[in-house]
Amino acid sequence: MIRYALIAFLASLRKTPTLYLLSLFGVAMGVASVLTIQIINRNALAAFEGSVEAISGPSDATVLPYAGFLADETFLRVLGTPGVAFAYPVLTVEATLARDSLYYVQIVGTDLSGGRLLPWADPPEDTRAMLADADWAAPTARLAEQRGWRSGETVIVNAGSRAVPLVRGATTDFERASPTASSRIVLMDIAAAQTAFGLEGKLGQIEVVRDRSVPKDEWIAGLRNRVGDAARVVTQEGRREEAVGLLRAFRLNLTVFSLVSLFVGGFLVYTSVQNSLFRRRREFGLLRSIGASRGQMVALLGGEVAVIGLLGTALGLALGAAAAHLMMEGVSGTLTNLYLLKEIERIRIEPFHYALALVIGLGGACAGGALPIEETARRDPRALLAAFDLHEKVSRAAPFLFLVGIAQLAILFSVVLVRGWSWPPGGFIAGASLMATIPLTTPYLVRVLFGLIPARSFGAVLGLQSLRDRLPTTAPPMAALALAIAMLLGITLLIGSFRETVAGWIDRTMTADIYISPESWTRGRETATIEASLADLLRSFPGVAHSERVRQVFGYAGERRVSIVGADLDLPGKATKISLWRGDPARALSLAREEGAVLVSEPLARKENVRPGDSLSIRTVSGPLRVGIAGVYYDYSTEGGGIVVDMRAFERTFGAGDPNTIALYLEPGLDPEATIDRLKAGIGTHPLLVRSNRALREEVFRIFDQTFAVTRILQAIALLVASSGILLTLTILARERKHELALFRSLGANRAQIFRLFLGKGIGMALFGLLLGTITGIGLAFVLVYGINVAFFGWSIELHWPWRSLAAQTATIILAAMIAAAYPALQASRTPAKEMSREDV
Amino acid sequence: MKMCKRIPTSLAIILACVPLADGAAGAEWLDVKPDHVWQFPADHWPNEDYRVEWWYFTGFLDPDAGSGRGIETPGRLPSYAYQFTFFRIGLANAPHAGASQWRSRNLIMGHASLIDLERSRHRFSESIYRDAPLLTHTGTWPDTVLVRSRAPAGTDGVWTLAWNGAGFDVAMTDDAAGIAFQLRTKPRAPLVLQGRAGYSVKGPTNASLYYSFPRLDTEGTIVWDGRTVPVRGTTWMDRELSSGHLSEGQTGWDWFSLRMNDGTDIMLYAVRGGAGTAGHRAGTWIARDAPPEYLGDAWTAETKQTWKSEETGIEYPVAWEIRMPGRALVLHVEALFPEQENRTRIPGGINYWEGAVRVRDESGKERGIGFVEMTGYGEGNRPPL
Repeated sequence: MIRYALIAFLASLRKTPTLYLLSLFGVAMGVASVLTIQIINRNALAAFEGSVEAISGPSDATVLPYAGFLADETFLRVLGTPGVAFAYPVLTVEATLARDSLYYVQIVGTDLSGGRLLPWADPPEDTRAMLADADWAAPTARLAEQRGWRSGETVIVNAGSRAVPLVRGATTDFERASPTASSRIVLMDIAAAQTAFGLEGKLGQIEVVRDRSVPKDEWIAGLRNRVGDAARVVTQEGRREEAVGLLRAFRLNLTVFSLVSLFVGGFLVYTSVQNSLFRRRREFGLLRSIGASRGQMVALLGGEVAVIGLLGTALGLALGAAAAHLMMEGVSGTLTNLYLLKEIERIRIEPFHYALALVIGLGGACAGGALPIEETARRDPRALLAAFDLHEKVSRAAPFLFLVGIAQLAILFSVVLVRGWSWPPGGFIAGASLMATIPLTTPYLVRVLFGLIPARSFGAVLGLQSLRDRLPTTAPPMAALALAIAMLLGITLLIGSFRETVAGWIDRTMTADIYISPESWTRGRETATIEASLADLLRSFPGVAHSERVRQVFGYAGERRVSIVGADLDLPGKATKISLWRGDPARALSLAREEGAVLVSEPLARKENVRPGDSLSIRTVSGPLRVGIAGVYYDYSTEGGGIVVDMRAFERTFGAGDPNTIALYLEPGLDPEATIDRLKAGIGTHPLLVRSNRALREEVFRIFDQTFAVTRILQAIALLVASSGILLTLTILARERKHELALFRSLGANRAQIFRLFLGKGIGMALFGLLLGTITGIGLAFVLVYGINVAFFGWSIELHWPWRSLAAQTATIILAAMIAAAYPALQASRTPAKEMSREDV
Repeated sequence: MKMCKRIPTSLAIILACVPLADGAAGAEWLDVKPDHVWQFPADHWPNEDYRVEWWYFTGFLDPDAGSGRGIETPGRLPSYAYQFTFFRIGLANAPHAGASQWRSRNLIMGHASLIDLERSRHRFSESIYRDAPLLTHTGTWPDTVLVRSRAPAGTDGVWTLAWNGAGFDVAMTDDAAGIAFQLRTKPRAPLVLQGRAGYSVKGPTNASLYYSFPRLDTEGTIVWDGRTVPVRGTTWMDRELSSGHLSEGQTGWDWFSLRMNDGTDIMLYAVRGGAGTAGHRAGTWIARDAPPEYLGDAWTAETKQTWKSEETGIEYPVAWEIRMPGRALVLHVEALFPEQENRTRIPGGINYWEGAVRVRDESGKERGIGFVEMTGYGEGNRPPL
């Protein structure tokens, strides 16, 4: 039996290699589309964990500031807490390399004289320099190698407006202990780091190791009690959970795509396998008639399905890993720009991914093969040799499935509408319900819609009409295509609308002529400051009419991590430069300036359910502070929530400090570009970015587009998967209906007519997909914009129709369908009349 | 360099890789000189011209019942013994630029033990911090405080060595170990310079500046598991400064401070050689009301018994026969109990034995008590000093 199975499989493979390859490709694409996202998802988290692990070392808990920095003295409170076995300070500064301003390194200052185990690769030889010199640094061995940073050599890093020379005194290898740790870590002594980056007296975090004789819960409680309101104590598990929380929206985005890909990919796997078995039913009938038992049939067919599943899984794994590698940079950009987390430097495929691939590939193939295998094994040989009646069965079930589809849509939407869009699962239920409607309604809609087409001649129109004849073959790929189009349209509408909304918001709020920020600002944030003397020089530069300082810290409003910005709200005409969702600009600014009230961002107001007149508790270095809310402003810069405070109140709360950004308003008539040239000459070698309004706007949209780059790639994959479905389906049809086509040829149909017949089928599938996909996609866009976005991100987005993009997409889909249909059409047109069987006559 | 690669902790790297002066401290720290001119009390304070210095207090205490009895009673063993030491280890002698409270030129290491002699219990505590304004303080004469450091992690307090005008005040606390003491000392006998003019040769190329207060009257309180006990007793104080204590190849030392019942004090030390390096012996005989006599190598110490630590696996001598042929003297020195090993918990730290001993003569008669210190036994325990 095994020998036969092998011979039969190889013979079949020789006879119809395209079909096997397509089946294999179908399984592989299904596996790859899900795997790509899962690999990225887990690696994004692993990159964060690796970074935390490398910096925190063997600590049991981390003491972190609620906002800004910890004071040095907090270390003494931590150190004196009962049950503390060991503690070490950490100060991290994000810096860029002077020779490559896009290359970020993380400076980690810690106590190098302590007993902490550090993974030296090339240990320090001159320990006096290590502790005494402000420029002594130990990059990772990989960073040193990548950047050609030799021992004793100086490399300049930029942090804020400072250009800091660092001399390589040793190298480390954090990846030894934490395989996903960043290679861009530069270790320094804490005193040197504080001095070099102008952060004397400030710590980023304190890592604490527990004396094992003290119970953990009691110890944590004691530690929290000792540090009081000024800092928070987080365990390693807690930090991971925080990262998960921080990445929730990002991962959710990817997971939703993953599910859609799973849906589309699953269809493809199912269809591929099912069709490859239906195609050979006569051979199986023959086998049964010469004595093969049912069990032998199940084993034979199951084995073949398993081989396809396994080969597809292997190919899918390779494709998935390759796609993840391709997307790594884009995802890293999003992680670092939007979430201020570590970039993904390397893609690691974990055992989980192999298991997942196997479940999807092998499981999908088995699911696809189950029905035909069961049918084949159950039926008697005569029935197998006769025409198969599954088409009729599916056709009969179509109205019922249609009704189920419409009913579930009506019921689930009603539930969501009753609970309201702010109900977090609501958007997902509505979205899933919409997507589920597609496969459920497709068979009936195909049967009805294509039945309406009058076929008066042999050609493309007949091809269209005949799509309703073989529903088990044609409905799944059409549903898959409709699903892909729905997703494509929904996301395109969301992104297009979001982009337009952001453009309008920028027009209203970004009104300065020139913006100056440190090169390391994107990642450095609160450590990226412009030294006071330099800030004064810039603000008093000839031609500057007004200037606005902006300082930012990350803090906590209640339990939510938010960006807290201090700005000069007394700027002339400021009321016209803020865009409020709720509240009166003039009154809000007056309250902010005179009473220390705050403006909160729309996402924060929605999530905390607050409005002007309410109050909010902000965690500060000296404990919680309750502040009044003067207004709610539109903000699309962060979904985490933001607060804007007048600079005077900011300094009272967070202490005096240097600004992170300076916005300059020029005197009327002055050319910003010419002023920028003069400013650049004035600031000399300080690593500052001096940008015009236009340049900054371009940068904003570059980041915006980068953020959605992954989304676009995933859309392309979904479309590719769906197009493959058309190719596969038509190839199967061409093969399956070989005898019928031969009959057409013998009755006088020429090759061009057969070609058009199949091309018609391809276009018909694309048009159906477009029709159903567009209707569903519009519904999905509404769900995304008014449901999921509001519940999870909290942004007001005005729906805009990006007609040009939509037209281009439609053209692309039809073109893709035509290309996909061309090969099977060509194959079909080459069918000679001699292929006609006696049965067909 | 090879040694550095094997030891991954920064502390260990610092301790192992700060260049140990091989007879010379290099350009950064001064060599000790035989013609050092002592200036007291200023010389009690830290002197950063030299790489390493320590203040070593070992003493015997009895509960203070106001009777004045206790260790003064010949033949009777005291109830408690203690050790208190501050080490300053120079890391850089150039000042660190900037205003960071973490800037430092030294490591300040504190070691302390409290020994319950009646119940044969020994508890050890240690603190080690960079000499940063946030964590430690090294004073200059005439400040009261000589050295202050944070208590070990887990304890909210400080360890202090201060000058009280006549002697030294020492204080330590360690909540996790359950011990603390605050003791005030004042000299009963004058300061003794160890070696000619306090120049104490340690080997062919190394030496230290060394002086002692062999008998300091001591009073204060000790805390053992939350129980505070007023105490009174005597302390031996040693202070040494050098820029390289051991020559390359020397492995460690054995040091004896014996307080005889007749009022004589004896200091003996033997730096152990190894790997083709010579050892070195020296000693001082301090008779009551008489100038000190330098013994040189005119004495021997033969190990009579050893003890192996279950914790570290290190085998230490715990009983010796000391012979001074010139004085026709044979003393049997024996640990009051063997388990008096100081084990550092800090990665890369060292283990050594520092404990209370009794002194008997050949007839078995109690002749005195004392302290013995043994360093450099076992693998990786060579003192980084």
